[in-house]
Amino acid sequence: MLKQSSASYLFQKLSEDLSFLIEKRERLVKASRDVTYQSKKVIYLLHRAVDEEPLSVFSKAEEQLHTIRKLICDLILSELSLENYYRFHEVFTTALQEYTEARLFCAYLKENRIMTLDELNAEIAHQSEQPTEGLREETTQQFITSISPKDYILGLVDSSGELMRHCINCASRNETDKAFQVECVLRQLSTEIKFVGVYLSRWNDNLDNKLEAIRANLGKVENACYQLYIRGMEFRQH
Amino acid sequence: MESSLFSQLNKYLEEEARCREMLRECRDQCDAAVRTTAVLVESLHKERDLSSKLKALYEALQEVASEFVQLQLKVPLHEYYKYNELWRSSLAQAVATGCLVYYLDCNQLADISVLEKIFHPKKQEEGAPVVRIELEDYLVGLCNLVSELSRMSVNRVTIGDFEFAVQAAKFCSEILAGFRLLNFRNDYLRRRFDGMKYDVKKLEEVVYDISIRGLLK
Repeated sequence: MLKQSSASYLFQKLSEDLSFLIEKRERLVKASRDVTYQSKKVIYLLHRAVDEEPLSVFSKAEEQLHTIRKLICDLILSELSLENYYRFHEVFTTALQEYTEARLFCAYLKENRIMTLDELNAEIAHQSEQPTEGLREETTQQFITSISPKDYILGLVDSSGELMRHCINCASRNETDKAFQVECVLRQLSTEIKFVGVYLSRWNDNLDNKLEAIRANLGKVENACYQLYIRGMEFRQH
Repeated sequence: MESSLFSQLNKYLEEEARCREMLRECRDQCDAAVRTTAVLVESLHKERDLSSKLKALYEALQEVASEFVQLQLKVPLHEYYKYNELWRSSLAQAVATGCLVYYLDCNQLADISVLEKIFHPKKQEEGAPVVRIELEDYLVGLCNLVSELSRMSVNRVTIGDFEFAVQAAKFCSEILAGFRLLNFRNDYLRRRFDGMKYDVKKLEEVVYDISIRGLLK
C-alpha cells in the first residue's frame, strides 16, 4: 500500500524547493523593472543633451548609469550562481537590453562610437570588483559575462531607435554634421547586423520585426539628411 | 565603428548554434528511446499479467537514462539552463514512465532519488554521471503519470481488472492532494496541474461505475 505520510512528506519538501525558486524569480522580476525604468530615464535625459549644457548632462547620465550598474550587480547578479544565469535569463534579459541601449547611446553621444559587448561587460565587472562586503569568488567570475550576446544585440537594435530620434533632433536644429554622422553609423549598423541575422532569426522573439525596425530607422534618417542637404543647397544658391 | 564588433558576436552565436544543433541530435536519440518505452507502456493497458512486462520496461528505461546521460554530458559547463528547454518534455515523459513502473511494481510514488536508482540500477561508482532531473521536470512527469493512469484504468476495467482502477484512483488523488501543497506561478506547470483534476475525476468516475454495479468484491 502507498504510505499516505510518505507522499505528503515528499510534497512538503518539494513545496519548499519550488517556493524558493519562485521567490528568487520574483525578486529578479522586481529588480529588472527597476533597472529598466532607470535606464529609460537615462535615455530621456540624454535626449535633452541637445538643449542643455551637454557636458553636465553627460556627467549626470554617467552617474545614473553607474547607479544602474550597481543595481545590476547587487540585485540581479548577486542572486545568481554561474549556472542559474541562464535559468532566469528570460526574467532579466529586457533589463539588460535596456541598460545596454542607454549605455550605448551615452557612449555614442559622448565619444561618437559604439561600445562593444566586451567593453560593457568589463565595465560591470570592474564595478563589481569594488569592495562590497561578502563577495564570493564565484559571483565575481559571473560578472564577466553579465550581458549576453543576445542582450547586447537586442539592446543595440533598440539604440538605433534612439540614434534616429537624436538625428532628427539634430536635423531640426540644422546641425548638419551630427545628423550625417548618425546616418553613417546607422547605415553601417544596418549592413553589418545582417551578418548575425542568420542566428537572430532563430530566436523566436520577433527579431525579424526588430531588424525591420533598424531599416525603418535608417530610412527616416536618410530622409532627414536628404532634406537637410536640399535645404542647404537652396541657401547657398540664393 | 570597428567591424570586430560583429565578428566577435558572430563567433559567439556560431558556437551557440553549433552546440544547439548537436544537442538537438542527441535529444532525438533520447526521444527514440523514450518512444520504445511508450510502446511497452501501451502494451500494459491490456496485459493480464502486469508483472511479466515490468522487467522489459525497467531495462528500456536504463537505455533511456544512458541516452540522457550522453546528452547532458555534452552540455557546456554552466549552460544547462540555456539548452534544457530542448529535452524537458522528453525527460518529463521518462520520469512519468519511471514513476509508472515503480507504482506497478511497489505501489508507491517514486521521488527523484528513487528514479535515479531505477535509471541507474547498477552500483554507481563514485561520481559516475546520473541523469539530472529538475524539480519542474519531475512535477510535469507526475502530471503525465496521472494522465496515463487514468487511461490505463479505463482500459484495465475492460479486461476485468477492477482492482487496478480502485488503487489507481486512490494513488492519483494522493498525488493531486500533494500538488495542492505547492505554490505555482502562472506557467506551464500550473496549467498541467489544472488539467490533473480532470484525470483524477475520470479515475473516480470509473470507480463509481464499477462499484455501483457491484463489480467490486
